[in-house]
Amino acid sequence: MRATFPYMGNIYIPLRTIFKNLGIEPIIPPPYNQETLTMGAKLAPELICIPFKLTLGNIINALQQGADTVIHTSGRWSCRYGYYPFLSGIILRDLGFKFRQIVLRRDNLLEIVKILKEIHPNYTTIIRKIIRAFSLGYEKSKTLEKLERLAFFIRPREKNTGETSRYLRYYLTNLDKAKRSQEVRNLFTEARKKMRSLPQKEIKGIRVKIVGESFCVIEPFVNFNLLEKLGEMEIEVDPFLTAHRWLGFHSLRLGRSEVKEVGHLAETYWPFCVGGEDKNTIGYSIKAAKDNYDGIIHLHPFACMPHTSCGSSLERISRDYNIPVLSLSLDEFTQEASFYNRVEAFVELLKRKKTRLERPR
Amino acid sequence: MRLGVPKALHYYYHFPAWKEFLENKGYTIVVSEETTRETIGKGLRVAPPEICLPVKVYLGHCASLQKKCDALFVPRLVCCLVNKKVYYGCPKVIGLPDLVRATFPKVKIWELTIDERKNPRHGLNLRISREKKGNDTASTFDNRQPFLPTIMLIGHPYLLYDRAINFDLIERIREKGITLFTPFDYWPIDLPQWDKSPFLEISWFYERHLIKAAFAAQKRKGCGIILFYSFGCGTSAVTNELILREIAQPAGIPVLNLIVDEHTQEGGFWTRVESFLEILARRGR
Repeated sequence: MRATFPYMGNIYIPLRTIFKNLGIEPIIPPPYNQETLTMGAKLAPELICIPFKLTLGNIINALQQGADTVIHTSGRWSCRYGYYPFLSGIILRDLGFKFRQIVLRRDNLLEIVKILKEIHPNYTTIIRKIIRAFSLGYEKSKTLEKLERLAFFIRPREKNTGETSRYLRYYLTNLDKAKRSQEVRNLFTEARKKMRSLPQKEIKGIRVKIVGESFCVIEPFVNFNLLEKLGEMEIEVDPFLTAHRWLGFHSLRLGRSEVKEVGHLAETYWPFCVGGEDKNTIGYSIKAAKDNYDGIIHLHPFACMPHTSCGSSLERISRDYNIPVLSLSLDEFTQEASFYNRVEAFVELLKRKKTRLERPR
Repeated sequence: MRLGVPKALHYYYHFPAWKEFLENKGYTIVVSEETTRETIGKGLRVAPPEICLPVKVYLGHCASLQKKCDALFVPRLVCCLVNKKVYYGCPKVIGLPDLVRATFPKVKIWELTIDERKNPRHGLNLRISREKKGNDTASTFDNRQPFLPTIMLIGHPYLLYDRAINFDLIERIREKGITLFTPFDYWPIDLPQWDKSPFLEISWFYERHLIKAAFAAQKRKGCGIILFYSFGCGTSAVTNELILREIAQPAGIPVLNLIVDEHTQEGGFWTRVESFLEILARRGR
């Protein structure tokens, strides 16, 4: 079985490990680029959100590389994300691709065992494989999270611009190659030592929370590598969602109380979770305001249904809690120059606000 | 207490039921006036920029109502049960009270949540009414002559029955002597293949009817489909693709994508409709 799956950001690192250890050959298409986007945008419906266009292009790439199975995560609710597998299935079959589609939902996760039964005949092997795959996958995912968070902290403080990102890339490649949990742990210790010892400088300490739709926050191609670029502008970024958290490990073991707290905070402004992380967006924005963050950047795809409607609630929060919010919508026509124009103006505003607040009267 | 009901969005689905419900509770109902260009303009000023036209119109109605009533009646349709399956509202409908509250912070809002997962009898009084059912179309449907152009106009009722948005589309097509159906002519009929088709996967409550209407058009020879939707409508991106690829293409049905937003001009709009009607007439011959 040669399986592929739509991915975002660095999520492929833990997923590749999990698939390999389960005995499924993962086909990881090349990272998102302009070609994928053009291909996806040509085939997809005009008004659908950009994650669909990109993932569609990527699945086509993978199918051309020889994948025979496409694995989706999905669900049946109000957001259009629930229709991704259905819609892409129709479009790809019209194009003449032949493949098997597996849809994993929250209520049929045991489907995994059924699929594995086709590859491995007895249950003991399956259980052993699952335990090994998920323990190593979890380890890698956790390390990925730690590495990314470390980079977010170090990057604004680095003296030579771009050094942290270079190290991060190097360690992520090694993380992808690692085969044992011991290796992964050693790698992180080494990375922490190396990155902490980089020459540092004094900064103002402006902290920005990134909220919005999960794909737009995690995937660097869509948001023009915003998280890295903001770091280079001497700003400490804190995305509310990272690859590790999205994978669901966070809801299984850690941060359960945080999810509850955030949900509780959002209750007055947005009581129903529709999809696309809208309730978390509202909750984390309020939390950021209470934790004295300096600003919020809200990223969402153009015409994203939950986020266009919760945008006005976010505006209200901005007024109620007195915190600057920059809302940016992204689609295939968004240009990097105009995007950064707005981000830089926002950053300039935050810096000025910070100095004015600190100056004694 | 006077409750204001904006004449937009799900007013066109549920109003008679709401009217009965609210009047039984002893409220006076104030319905806003017909949509005009000014209403749309008012909505545009306060609404978030990327949201679809009907919601902008809704906010425009709210703006004109806010001084005429004590509170606004804004329902929130989270989900409905049909044949024991859960069907959700569109995200904008689910978030509507929050949207109105964020836009008009000083206005009181009387919110009604319909969530049949928790309480199956919750929305029972508020079941969809059949107010907009066509008068004689359903009966004449089967014995029309096959070569006369017939049109199935597929769109949400808040677009189809709002004259300011659609430039009187239904009346003006019918004036030309063309038989025109809307999804709401079939409202009570559950087509037999419905349960077996993969379109059951559609989990939006309001959009089921649109797909059902497309099925009805497929059954009829020489019937064209007009997909009428607003720019930024999220659900139509999915349903239109399904209708195009799974229903219209295999059966060879001509389809017109008719899209409106606040900048649509009447001239361009009508040129497109008329050329489509011309094509249909020629195909029939």
